[in-house]
Amino acid sequence: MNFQFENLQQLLAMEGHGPFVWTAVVVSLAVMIRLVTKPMADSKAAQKDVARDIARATNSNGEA
Amino acid sequence: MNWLTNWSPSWQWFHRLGSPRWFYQTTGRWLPWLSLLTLVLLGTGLVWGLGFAPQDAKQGNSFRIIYLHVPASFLALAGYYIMAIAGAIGLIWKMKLSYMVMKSAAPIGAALTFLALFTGAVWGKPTWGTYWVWDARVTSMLILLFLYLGVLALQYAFHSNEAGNRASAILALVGTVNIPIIYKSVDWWYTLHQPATIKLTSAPSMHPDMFQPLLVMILGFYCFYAVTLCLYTRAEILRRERKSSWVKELVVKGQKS
Amino acid sequence: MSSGFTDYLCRDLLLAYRRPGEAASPLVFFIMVCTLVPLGITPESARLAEIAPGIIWVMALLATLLSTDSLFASDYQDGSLEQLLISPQMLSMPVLGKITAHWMVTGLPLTLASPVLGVMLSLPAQGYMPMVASLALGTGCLSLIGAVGAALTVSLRKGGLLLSLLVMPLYMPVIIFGSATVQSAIDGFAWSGPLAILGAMLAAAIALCPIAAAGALRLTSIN
Repeated sequence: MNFQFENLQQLLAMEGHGPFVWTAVVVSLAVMIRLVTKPMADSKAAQKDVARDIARATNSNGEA
Repeated sequence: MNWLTNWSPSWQWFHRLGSPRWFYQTTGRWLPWLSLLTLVLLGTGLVWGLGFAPQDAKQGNSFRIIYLHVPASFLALAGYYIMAIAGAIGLIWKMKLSYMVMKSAAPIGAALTFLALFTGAVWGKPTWGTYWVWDARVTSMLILLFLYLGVLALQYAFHSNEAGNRASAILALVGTVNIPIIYKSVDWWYTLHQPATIKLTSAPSMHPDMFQPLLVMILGFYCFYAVTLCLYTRAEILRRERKSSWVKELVVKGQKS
Repeated sequence: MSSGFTDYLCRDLLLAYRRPGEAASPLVFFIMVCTLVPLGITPESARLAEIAPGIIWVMALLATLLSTDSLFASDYQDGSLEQLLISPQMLSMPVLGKITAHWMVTGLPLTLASPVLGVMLSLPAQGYMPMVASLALGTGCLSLIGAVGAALTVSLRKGGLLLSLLVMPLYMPVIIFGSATVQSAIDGFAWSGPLAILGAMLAAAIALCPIAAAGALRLTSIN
């Protein structure tokens, strides 16, 4: 098993098929990264909501 | 269903599995390891497939898109069944958690179906000379995307979460019954209208050097799917259970550390 | 059949008879939209004949889709659907009755009117019998599948467009075999094969769709 390309330029060009292969790779990675970051952001937002609720509850208790 | 839990201990795991809290804590423990495994598998597979696998005799380097296209297509279809099964469990046992899994599976499945279509189109240009061909598999994939979009749209159309869950679970089940019929009829339709001589790669006779990285990528995609499904479900759990005491404790603990 | 099938069939037919304008609109839509085809593509009969089977089938599908929305809507609004839901009898038989009535009001007129459109779109002579036969079976399938979507969206205020999103992918096998029946007859092949598959689909749909629609009504229209 050998590396199929002589240098980076050849790897990028892929004998003319580079644009297609790399578009597929970049778009796939972008979608996959989005699939991971989206729920993480949602989780964080939900936790922030809970924290705000708790803060509000303790504040109103303190006033009363 | 109470008597079942009392009578047979074998049902306990099932009910514990239905508890969002248990799910959140357990997945929290092994999610880092699974993510690491996913990264390793996807990284290895991608470098292996893109750099080291020998190029295809007919298609040249463009065939390397297979390492993204095939795993994405696999998971797109498997994801629909996962979604439908989760929905069915929700309908039958009225399990909150499984509705959450179903709801989470829909956007992931739709994204993977889109990826399968997109990579297929980009692959088609150098191989077939065109981005889009009404090939049986391409058409079935497109219909699968429509099915996913229907479930997503139905889910968000209801104001009441419960009704939305039940409605999209039924739709997912109806879709599951239909998928084999759709695939068969599209296949039949394609043989009827067979245009020119366009054939996708003959997968079974793949050289081992090409096949091994594909296997790694497929495994990697399965792990990736599991990771994203967990992440989406965990976010959904937090959102849905924000009033419960264990989530509050969790947030307080998170603030202190 | 004391299970409510005939009751609801007769009731819905009577309702349609009292409101003929509403019942006729899918048919009018079907005819009008088929008139647009020669205007949009070509009046040349040779080219029209080529696409006629597909066009007629697609338009029949759209016309059925338009009317599916109203399948349970009026019952939902006036409360009679709720009454049906709390009654002890099996829900799927009344639902099947309603679907049958819906087919007799929309699918059947479309089927009967299709030869006229065949003439207008210069469909070859050997295509008429298979077209009528396939439309008769196929619109039945469309009504049954559409009923599931209508049941799922009945409680939504703007369910119409969503309904078409939901059921359109499920319609695809029907349109494939429907237009293939006509096409293979025109091409001089035996057309009983695709027609038989259409019949099998109809049989399966009669068995499954009322159950699914009944379940959907029970689970989503009452919160």
